[in-house]
Amino acid sequence: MKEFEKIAKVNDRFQAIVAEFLIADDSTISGSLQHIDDDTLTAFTEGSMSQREAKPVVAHLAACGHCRNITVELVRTEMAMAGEDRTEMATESTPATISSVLSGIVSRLFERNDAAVFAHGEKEEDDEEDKAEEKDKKE
Amino acid sequence: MNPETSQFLKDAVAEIYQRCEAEAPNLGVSLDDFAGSIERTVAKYLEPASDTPVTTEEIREFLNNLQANDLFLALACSVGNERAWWEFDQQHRSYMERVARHLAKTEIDATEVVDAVYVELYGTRVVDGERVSKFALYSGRGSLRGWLRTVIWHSVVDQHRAGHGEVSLDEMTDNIGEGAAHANFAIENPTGEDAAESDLIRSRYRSATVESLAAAMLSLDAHERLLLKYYHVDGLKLREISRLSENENSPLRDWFQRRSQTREAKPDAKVYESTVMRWLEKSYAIIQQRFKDELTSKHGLSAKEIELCLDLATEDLHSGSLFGNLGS
Repeated sequence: MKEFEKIAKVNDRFQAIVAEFLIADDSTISGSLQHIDDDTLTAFTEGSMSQREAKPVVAHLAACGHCRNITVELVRTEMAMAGEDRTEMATESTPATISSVLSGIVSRLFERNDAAVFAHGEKEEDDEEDKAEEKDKKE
Repeated sequence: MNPETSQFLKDAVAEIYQRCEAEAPNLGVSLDDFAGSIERTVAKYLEPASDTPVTTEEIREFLNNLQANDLFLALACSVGNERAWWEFDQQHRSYMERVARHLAKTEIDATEVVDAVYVELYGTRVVDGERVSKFALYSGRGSLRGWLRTVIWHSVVDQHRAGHGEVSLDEMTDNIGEGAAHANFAIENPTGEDAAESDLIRSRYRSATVESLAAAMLSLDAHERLLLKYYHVDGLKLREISRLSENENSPLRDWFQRRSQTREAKPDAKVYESTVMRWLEKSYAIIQQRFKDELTSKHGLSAKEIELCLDLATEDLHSGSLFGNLGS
């Protein structure tokens, strides 16, 4: 059984049953769906989609473990990066022209290929939100 | 789209274009290219999303969400404008490198991924005499940075696949970042013909439980089902779900807070972990009610029998045999 934070107002036993149902259900329906493109996944994870556009996307994600999994990874990556973003310093490398960027890449690729040959092997609602907001402000 | 809405789109896009041009002159993006890209996005994503024709209000909402400056830069890069590439490199390269380092296993892998993405962004494939840049796939619906993050994530997956002989993407997500692919549910069915009568009763309660739970799930809206799956199947934490809905224009947030007084009073109020917990509780309240209604009205079970169903389901959970026949 999968471990998860318990939902306070819901009976533990029922939560466990629902959780197992959802896991079993998910593994039966993911296979045959056409997946969502990167552009749409990005807009969804950023919450920058109109309701009209989002409706079919949400319906798809509720059924497709594959695409949902990608959104999970994207949210986690985004959260991990967010802290760094705030302290982001100006890049050390000099901004480049297309040709210099690409020629740098090409030469690195060739060097790496050579090296690889040798290196192979490696109501409550308002109250609670008010409390949370206060806490947030203190922090 | 009716002619009035179409004209609204045209005028609004022309206005946005002028703003972008003023902020980033000399990037070589024409109004036709800019408008063409937006019109294609509207035709591809907005119009088919519903059977009703797109309204002016929906176009307005769509354009309000549009990352116009990012789209402008991406379009300029896609046609190979030197100045645009300079800007892009300055604004995004270090971020791309950090994302790649976070996702890839080694520094060399990260560098390889960024290089490969740069090559894709520039485009090496030529169709009908024109180079096809990956930038052409960016529509401006999310931020360019977010899109790059997604592209890098996929590139890391591809790199991993290449190194591990084509394993499935689901298996892949277990090994990338903090991957939490869904668990594989045991699908063993209990066998044996012993204790036939008790088995019959058990089987009746079990199928009633499964059917009622399935009906209860179907009674949820898609956003409620999605929330439950994020929580239980993918193991997203409350703060991660709140992150998904923190944008004040987030559709998830809109749906969950349709009748919220807090939302009406403070539309830009933050989505806290406690907010998400309440959404979960509300979704559970719907399931629980529907589950009991189904067992009572459709299967004719008493309150005591419903308890028995839950007891048996809990027992089955521990033996890994509950819902084992869902896929069959």
